[in-house]
Amino acid sequence: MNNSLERLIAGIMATLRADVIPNVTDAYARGQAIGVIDLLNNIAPRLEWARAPLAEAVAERRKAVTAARALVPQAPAGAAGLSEQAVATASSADLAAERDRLDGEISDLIAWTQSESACGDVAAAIALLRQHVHEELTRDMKLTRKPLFAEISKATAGGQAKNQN
Amino acid sequence: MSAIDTFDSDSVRSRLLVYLRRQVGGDVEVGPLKRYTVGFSWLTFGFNAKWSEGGARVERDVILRIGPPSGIFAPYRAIPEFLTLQSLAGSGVPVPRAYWCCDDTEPLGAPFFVCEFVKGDAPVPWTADGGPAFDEETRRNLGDQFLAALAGLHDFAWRSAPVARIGGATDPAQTAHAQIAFWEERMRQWSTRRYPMLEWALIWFRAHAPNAERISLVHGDYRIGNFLELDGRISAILDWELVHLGDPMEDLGWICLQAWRGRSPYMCHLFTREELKEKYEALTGTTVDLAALHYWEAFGTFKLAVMHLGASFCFETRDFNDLRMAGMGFQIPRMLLQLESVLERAA
Repeated sequence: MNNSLERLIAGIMATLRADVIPNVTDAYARGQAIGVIDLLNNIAPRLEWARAPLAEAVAERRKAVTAARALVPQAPAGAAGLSEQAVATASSADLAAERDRLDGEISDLIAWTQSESACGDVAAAIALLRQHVHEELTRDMKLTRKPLFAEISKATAGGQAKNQN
Repeated sequence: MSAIDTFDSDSVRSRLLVYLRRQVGGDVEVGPLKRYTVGFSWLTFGFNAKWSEGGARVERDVILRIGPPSGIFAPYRAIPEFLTLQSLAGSGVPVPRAYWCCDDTEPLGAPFFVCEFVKGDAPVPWTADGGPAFDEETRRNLGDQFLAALAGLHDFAWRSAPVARIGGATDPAQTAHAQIAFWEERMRQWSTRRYPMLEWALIWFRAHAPNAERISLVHGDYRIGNFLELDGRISAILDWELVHLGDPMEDLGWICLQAWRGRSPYMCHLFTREELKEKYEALTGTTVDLAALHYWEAFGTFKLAVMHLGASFCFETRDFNDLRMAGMGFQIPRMLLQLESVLERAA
């Protein structure tokens, strides 16, 4: 899961306050670091996750579920989700919850296609869901930046004290 | 790191002193504790200790590792790692000498163990330009030692050693199923959001679980990043917190993860997959079944993806402010695409 925006900002501020600022020796740099906390403090109540990618994620999942169910109509129904109207006006948090509900429904459909009770055009449904999962991950990767693990490791190298887990 | 501030160096030192005096039955000197902040599972402190042993005064640089309640794998147990280090002492596997261990939370507030401080650097898989981590000579040299230590671990006669008590699956038909159950439980604990790729993988792992050819001590996290190197020699294999009894192919598959090599053709930046198979077979006299190797590589990728969920969970719910853990949460799509790719190869 991606962490909640509130927790991320709280964590960044706490790390700056407890672990970074006490070790910044240059006065100007220390002031700027405190300035970052000040800004984050003010930005936090005005922020939410971008709505457009969440709305797209929900739409793509709904499309995949509908198409898969047409191929395997005997599959057990999923829990009720947001109506079309509700999606149109939903907050980012509601959209994230709907995305997660749909991921659960897709997971249940996948499990059912592998079960003994699976019937209908199961192979086509599996192929469709597999393609959907791949495309959604690829879409998520467009928002994902390369991790800075090399830089972090170089900065924190410490022999036996090192533990990646 | 507010949740673990109860383990500040001064309070740990004074409580440790009481514990150690009781253990050695005499006076102990404990120097200032240096807390290493790089780990986000066990807390690690280094210090100098002096005590008497058989009438002689002993002085050692040692490492204290504490499993905090806020850590990713909490609640922790120190005894499996301690028994492993103790049992492997003097074997072909280079490990720090184990001194003391306590799973009772009374002395320090959490399970802990004390072991020898071993000199060396821990090479890591991530290079600035994505290129090789070693020059050719170092790669071959360290690769051979890395595999020799692994073979030593897997050939270790655990049944007659204290480490036989650490637990794990000893029925060859159940080793994979035991690991699936363990990591599925972690996955459900760490994420209420269900990821279709992970669910898919679980179904595949259950349907294709291999039988183990033999039961060995399995490190559980055997890779670049978890050994120390000093002047061209591997001075210690570290981080035994996932050690268990099981299928040794599990360690081989884990070594092959893309996460430990990036774009390098060398597993863990050390050897090709073919070299891994050939050299391991020559060292152990066993046969590496390629289907089992691919299975465990796929399972390892699943396990690493689940660990990313754990890091994210730990940051969100346990007030643990190490930003690397939140950073891992953002890399879950990358892990899931790697899982998809390795599952397709294994199928």
